[in-house]
Amino acid sequence: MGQDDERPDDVGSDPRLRALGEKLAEARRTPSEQGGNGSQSSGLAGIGQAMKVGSEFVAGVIVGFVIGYTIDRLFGTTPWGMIVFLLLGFAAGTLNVMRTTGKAKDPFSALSGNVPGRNKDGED
Amino acid sequence: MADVRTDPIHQFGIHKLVDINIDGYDVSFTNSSLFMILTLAAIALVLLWGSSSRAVVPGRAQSVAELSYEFVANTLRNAAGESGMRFMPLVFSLFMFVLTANIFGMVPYFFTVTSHIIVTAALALLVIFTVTIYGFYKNGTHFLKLFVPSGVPMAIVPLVTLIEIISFLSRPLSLAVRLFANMLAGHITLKVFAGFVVTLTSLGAFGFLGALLPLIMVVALTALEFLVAFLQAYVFTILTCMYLNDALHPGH
Repeated sequence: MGQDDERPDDVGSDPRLRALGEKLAEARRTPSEQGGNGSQSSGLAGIGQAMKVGSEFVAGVIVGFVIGYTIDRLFGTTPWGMIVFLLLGFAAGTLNVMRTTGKAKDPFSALSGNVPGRNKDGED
Repeated sequence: MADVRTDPIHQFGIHKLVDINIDGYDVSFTNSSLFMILTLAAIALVLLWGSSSRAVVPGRAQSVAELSYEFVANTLRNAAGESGMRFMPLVFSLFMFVLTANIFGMVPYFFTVTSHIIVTAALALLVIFTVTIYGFYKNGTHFLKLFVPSGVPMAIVPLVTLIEIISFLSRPLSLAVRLFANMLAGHITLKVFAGFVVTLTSLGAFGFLGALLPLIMVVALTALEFLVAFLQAYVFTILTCMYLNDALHPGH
């Protein structure tokens, strides 16, 4: 598909047809190369991201809380496990948010180089 | 608010329809089970009906089936690459189940399966166990590199690793809580505003006029809830794809 199989005698003569061919090729390329899901979901991705950010931060803090609480219960180290892991959970939550918004580099993309569409959500 | 009609939480109650007790465990068939089965039946019907004709120019049902397949396939391909397509059955099932369950919840008198955290947590754990097990199966101990970012000074590696582990553990939690909280909060809000309409109209002519405002609100919220129903299914799917991508490509 694309510009390769255009018939030169037809298309070359008419600039409008050539423009159409280029547009078609562009449209075919868009979903896979730009990494987005087409134009119809770009607005959705924005709202989806807004919902992601809040819950990811809270989730980090809650996991830190649960780990700290469990350690305190198991080893009787109240309140140190809670203090340390709440702080770590806060850090993890912040890391989650920064990753979601593309402010911090994902360890996966840093290691693997070019994974297609990896930071797609960060772009919108 | 003892009145059942205006109690906003009442709609989430679980009732036993068929009492089943196996070896001391309560495995009764509840209204939640019923609506899960209805959800699956609806998906199966639409997809089977849609794929039965196999026309070149798709009819309505075939169009729905093809559009949903293409949508999920594109999402997965973009997030996890071509090798992620082996998870297509899982991701497509998840998307269709969450979407249909959410939309089912919008029908009056229907039970919203995804408004219970046990359901969404089960789905999120399924995703995260798939990611972890497949990650170890495919990459071996190399998968653990996920927790040790490169280019970090040795002195703070333990700290960073700990934070990365917490970050990893927070994924299923945020996945489950987001879906459940959105559905729960949305349905409670709808019910509360609808309750205002009923309560205000009992105040006579003045209350009748006042009831117009929450009524408009309910109409607007219903539209918003349909958007949220689709959006949450989409967010659940795209995050699943991104986590699967981590399992497929944790680094080379």
